[in-house]
Amino acid sequence: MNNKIKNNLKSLIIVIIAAMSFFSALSPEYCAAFSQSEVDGFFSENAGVFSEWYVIGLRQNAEGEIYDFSNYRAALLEYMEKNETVSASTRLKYALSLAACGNEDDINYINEILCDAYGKQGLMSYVFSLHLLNNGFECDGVGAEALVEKLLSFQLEDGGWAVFGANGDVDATAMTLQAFAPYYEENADVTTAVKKALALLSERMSEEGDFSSYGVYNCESTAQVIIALSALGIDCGNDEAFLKSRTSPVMALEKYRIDGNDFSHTKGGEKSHIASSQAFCASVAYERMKSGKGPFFVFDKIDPSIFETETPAVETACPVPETASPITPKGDKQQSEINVKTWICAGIVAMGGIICIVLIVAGKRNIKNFIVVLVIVAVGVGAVLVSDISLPEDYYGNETEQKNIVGSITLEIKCDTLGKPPVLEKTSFDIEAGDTVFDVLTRAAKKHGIHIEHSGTTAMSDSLAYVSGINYIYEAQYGDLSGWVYFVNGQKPSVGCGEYVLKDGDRVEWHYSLTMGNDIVK
Amino acid sequence: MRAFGDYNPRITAIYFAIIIGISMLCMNPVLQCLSFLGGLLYFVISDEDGLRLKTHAFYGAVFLITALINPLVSHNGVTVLLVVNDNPITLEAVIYGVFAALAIVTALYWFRCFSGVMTSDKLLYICGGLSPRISLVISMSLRFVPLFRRHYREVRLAQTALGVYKDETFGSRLKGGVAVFSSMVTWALENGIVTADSMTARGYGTGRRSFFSDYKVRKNDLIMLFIVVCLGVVTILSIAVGALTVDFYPAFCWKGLSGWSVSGVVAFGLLCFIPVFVEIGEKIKWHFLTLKI
Repeated sequence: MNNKIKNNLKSLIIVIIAAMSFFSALSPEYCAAFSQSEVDGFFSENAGVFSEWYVIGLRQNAEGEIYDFSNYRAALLEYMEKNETVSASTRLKYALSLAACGNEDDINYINEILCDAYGKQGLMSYVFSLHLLNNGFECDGVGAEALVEKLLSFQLEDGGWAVFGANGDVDATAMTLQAFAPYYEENADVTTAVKKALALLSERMSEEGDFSSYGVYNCESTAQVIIALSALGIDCGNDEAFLKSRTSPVMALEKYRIDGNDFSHTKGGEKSHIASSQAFCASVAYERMKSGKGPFFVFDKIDPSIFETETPAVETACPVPETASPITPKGDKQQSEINVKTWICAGIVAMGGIICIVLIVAGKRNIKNFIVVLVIVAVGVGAVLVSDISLPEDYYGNETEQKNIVGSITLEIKCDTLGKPPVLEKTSFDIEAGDTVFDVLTRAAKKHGIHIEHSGTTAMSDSLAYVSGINYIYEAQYGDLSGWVYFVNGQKPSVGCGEYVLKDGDRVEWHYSLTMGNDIVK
Repeated sequence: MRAFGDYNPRITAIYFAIIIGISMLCMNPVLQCLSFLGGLLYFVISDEDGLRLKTHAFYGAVFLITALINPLVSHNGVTVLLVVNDNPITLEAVIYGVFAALAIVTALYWFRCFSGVMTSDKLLYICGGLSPRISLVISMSLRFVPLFRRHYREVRLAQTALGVYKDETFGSRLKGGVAVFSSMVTWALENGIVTADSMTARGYGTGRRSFFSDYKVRKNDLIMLFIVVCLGVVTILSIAVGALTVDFYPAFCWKGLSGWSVSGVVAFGLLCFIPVFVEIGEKIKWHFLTLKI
């Protein structure tokens, strides 16, 4: 009895000492978080480059400190604006980081990214999408349960996940497990899958406690495993399965530390921001697990009032209309077209009159001079009378009267290639006999207040029409070969949009292409 | 008495390069207006044609036409004023057109000032160090412009006297102008050949060309160079950091006031008015000197 108590005490003391030494070894540096000025300065400058992990880590810090990410958020939004063609996974990562900033204005934008990039780029895009869903973002037709099943179906024979290949990759497996964390205990399928994956990770761990990806033992893989295990509630500092020769992944990570918050990619290597940021996340995740907080990628709720009291940052970036910003008709609709034309004609005639007076004053009173002025004025007035001129109030938001409707078609204007939401969702329009693609486009623009620019048209004929810009997105704006192309029933016609005559039931799509239409997958 | 044109040609050349370069490459409304005012004032003060209404009327016409064409051709912009044949005429395009036209007119004024100040001997001095041959070609082609103009006047006078050229109506003026121009083209070609032959006969191109000029760098020149380069660098830096970037499309938007943008505008404003300051300063000095006599 006495012995037993002694033994118990002994083991308790050992555990306490071990724990104390462990914490004394880890805690001081591990808790070395970053200051608000670093968030506003260094991290904001590198928004979109490597700051994302840091920001997520800071948002989730175990001490419950609250940072103001508004500077970083502005920088990231600007970065995303400038770098259009980032991959789907990267955009989802940015979305997650925006979500970490916690600004409510971004909710719709993040939802849009989720809808747009969901599953576009294999495993990683599913994983990040699931993270976003776990944080309450949503998109029609994307359910968390379906996504979990999808990810489960990707599990390889050996229990792991990989971006490509038949063998599980440590990083991919760990990152998938991180997304599974909220379902670990609820969903039986997930539980079995995770257990299998954990077995694989345990097997893949080196004697020194670190992990490799593509044959190289590195800091990032180890960090990802720590995040995954911590999210699942496994204490990888003490878990049997992850203690080989008494070194745990947490200790292994220490070996990559250079100084303070700096880590290297491989042991003894140079400082790497990617390694440092992921190691920072690992430390945060581990701390969270220790203090019993939720999974790393499910953001803690922040009282929104904190953000409301803050003064808004000075808007320096010029906003570009992301979505279709309809030109809203305003003012009364009483003014008729004739009124505008009369004013313009009066202006031209007045200019002619001024020139005539100048001629008289200058002493060039030959009758032929006045005839020339008269002819020029007549041509000007004629051009005005022939053109269709109307005020925007009268023009936009109105339906064109149609008499001989012969059927209806659907029209869609998309710019997926830029990762932007569609300018016009699939909408159906009635057509008259002889209506061309161009006619329908102008009618749609008129009705929905969409900006378009075209050339080659006259008041008489549109057969040479060329559409150079829709919704302020212009040809050649994103590379020499970029521009608007149209498809009818999935085919790219070889005639101009002013010549293609539509028939009932046609499906017209306008796409912004970066390579003269070759990148639009049908 | 040392007017702006009397500074060392290399310094005036650097000055004009900076001014014209910035006003042509940076589409910032404030910079454009400053540059325009500086160029116009300097032209009025220094050039003998400065107060001739006809010269300014020509630039005014260029301005109006360029400013009017842009909104008719470009339809980008969020503020729609009118819709013509389903194409929007926008306020942004009008604003852009106005400043693009202003940029062109500004450049024209500065080039007028440039050609007034940089006489061919000064150009020879600048290029002579690089290659006397190139400087010869440049000075010959520059000489050709006033030569052509002088000859044009002569031919016109002769044809008016003969009754071939009339400038009563637009039509007859055009007709006469074409007749004079056709004779000018023939003369120019012939003149080119004659000049070339004459130069060969005099032995041009047989030996190495050398050049001589007696422009010296004085203390004043160095001070002026220092000022010009400092102001130029501040302006270029503030443009480079993007503080003076202005977006015209799809909505007019500027970056707001900041230390950079204010210092850039102030520096460029001072830079644009340097010639005017120098000329006026010299005029005042001259005035007081003559009082003493």
